[in-house]
Amino acid sequence: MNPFPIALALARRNWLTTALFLFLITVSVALGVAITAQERALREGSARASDPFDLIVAAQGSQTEVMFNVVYLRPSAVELIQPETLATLLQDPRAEFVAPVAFGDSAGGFPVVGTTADMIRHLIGDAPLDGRLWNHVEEAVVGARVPFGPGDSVMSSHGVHFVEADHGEIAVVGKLPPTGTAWDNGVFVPIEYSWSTHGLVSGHDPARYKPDGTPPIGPPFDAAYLAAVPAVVMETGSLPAAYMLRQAYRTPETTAFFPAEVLSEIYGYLGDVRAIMSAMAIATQVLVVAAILSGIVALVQLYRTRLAVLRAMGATKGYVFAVMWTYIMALVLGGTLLGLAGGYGVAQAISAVFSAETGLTLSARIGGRELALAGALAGLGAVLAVVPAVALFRRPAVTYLR
Amino acid sequence: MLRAEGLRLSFRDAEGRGFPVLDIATLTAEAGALTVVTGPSGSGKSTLLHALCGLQPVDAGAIRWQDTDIAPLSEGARDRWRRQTVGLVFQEFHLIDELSPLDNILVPAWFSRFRAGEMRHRAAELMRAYAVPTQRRRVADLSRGERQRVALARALLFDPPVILADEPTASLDRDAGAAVIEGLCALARDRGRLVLAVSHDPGLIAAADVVLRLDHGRLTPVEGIA
Repeated sequence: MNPFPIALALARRNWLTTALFLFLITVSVALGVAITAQERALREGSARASDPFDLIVAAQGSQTEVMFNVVYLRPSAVELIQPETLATLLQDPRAEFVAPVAFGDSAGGFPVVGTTADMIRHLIGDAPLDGRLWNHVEEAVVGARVPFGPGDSVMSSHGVHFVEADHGEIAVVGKLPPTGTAWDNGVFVPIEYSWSTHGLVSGHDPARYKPDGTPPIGPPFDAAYLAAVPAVVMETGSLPAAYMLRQAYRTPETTAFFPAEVLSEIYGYLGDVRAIMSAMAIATQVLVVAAILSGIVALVQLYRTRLAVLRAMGATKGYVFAVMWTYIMALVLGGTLLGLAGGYGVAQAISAVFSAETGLTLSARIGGRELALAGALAGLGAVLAVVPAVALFRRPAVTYLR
Repeated sequence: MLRAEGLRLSFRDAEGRGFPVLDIATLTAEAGALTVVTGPSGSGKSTLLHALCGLQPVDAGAIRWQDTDIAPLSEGARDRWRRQTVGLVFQEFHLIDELSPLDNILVPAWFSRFRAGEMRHRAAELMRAYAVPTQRRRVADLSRGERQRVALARALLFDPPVILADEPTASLDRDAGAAVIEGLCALARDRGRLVLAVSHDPGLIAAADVVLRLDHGRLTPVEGIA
């Protein structure tokens, strides 16, 4: 049998209703898919962005706040690690490197981060740098998404959200390759710059300054000339070393944590939100399918004479059933596929906006969860598609011919 | 020969009381003849037609076509019998407006097969025979007379030995009606088909070989021309 020509004729007869049904299914599926795909992209992207930061040590206070400062370059006022403690941290032989990180300045609207070359090299891995790393206190390298490049000069100012005072021009000497982290949106200067522009010590004994009167760059630092910093990033080399160091720096003065632990706590909350939103998306879909089915039941009453004529010409109940089931399933499947594509598109668009905003590379994709969602809806549609036929077959076909 | 014996059928009204619709001792229609059942509105003509093609189950009686009594068959078996044996024509054509004339004629082919295949040739032949315009994309664009000829062609797709027509000319003007009457007469007399129509169109009654009169569900022969 071939129910398609008749089902198609049915759709064409009420093309506006059919298009509306298709649109409703598409929107409801797209909504559910976009929510789950976007939530996953956010989770994966934010986790990936924290990969370069093995262990973060900060002064006692909120780990979440410190993590947003260090990993996502969302500066807020946090407690500082005092110079004496910093001296101990910097000298810890168990870490492969210890990089202080300092925030609070901005350049051209991008956050300025004071740190060491070790941190930058660790961040970009083996990828080549456009230009070079800094070797002077007033030199900077910029993240891949920052619209400056080697040779540019940019005004560094105090304050991130509101510029309070200008520090002076800094020369951009290098541009980092994309890392997919929030650091793609950063401007990086030697920690010596962050300290000295704020009228603090530079980290080095002035006796050892370069002939031009500027401090040398990078470790080793002089313990007596250190200033406070919001946090340090420790590269630990191995997992046991990471756990050991985390334990070692959970002291009355400092807190030490893996970004992943803080993230998983946040994901815990996010997961609850996701569960609620998924449930709402599924409920929406079920409601849409139910609404459409009741619409089709009404539509079938309009078609009943036509369907009865098919019976009169020798079509079996099975054929008439197949016509209606094909029509409904075409709506459900078509809407589901369009919804998957639409949801993917929406999630991509949101990810792109989010990436531009934060520097985090989010790649929304259609995964098992989205396919399961779509499959469940299609399955539900397949079962519920029986309802209009049952409604029609309650009375003999000949009733509708009189 | 199609023969109904002792056919009885009652419907129930809104209060659930039964009232008789058909009570027919015998009815015979011969192949090669045009039989017309006439009678006032509400006399049960359409119901009789539906009973004869197996759409309407009856309370009692036999409906024999050749050696088969279709009355006691299951619904599925009656559907199958009807598909193979009967071509139906309706007063209001009951075509599918969104389909082309050719596809409308092919509709019965899709009940049992996916591709119309060789049935397309048969349908094209019928379109020529009944002068159905081939250029039109939708039957909705055809005149009423043309549409009834499409319906007739559709009824004949499987070349059924029995053609049943329910007021086939009632919604047509005189010329279009005459063309349909001519088509039905030719089927009976030239092709040897059994053609039974219910109608009160004087033109169709005049063309009939046998005219039966149905009144309150009972049959009375009025005249025999053959």
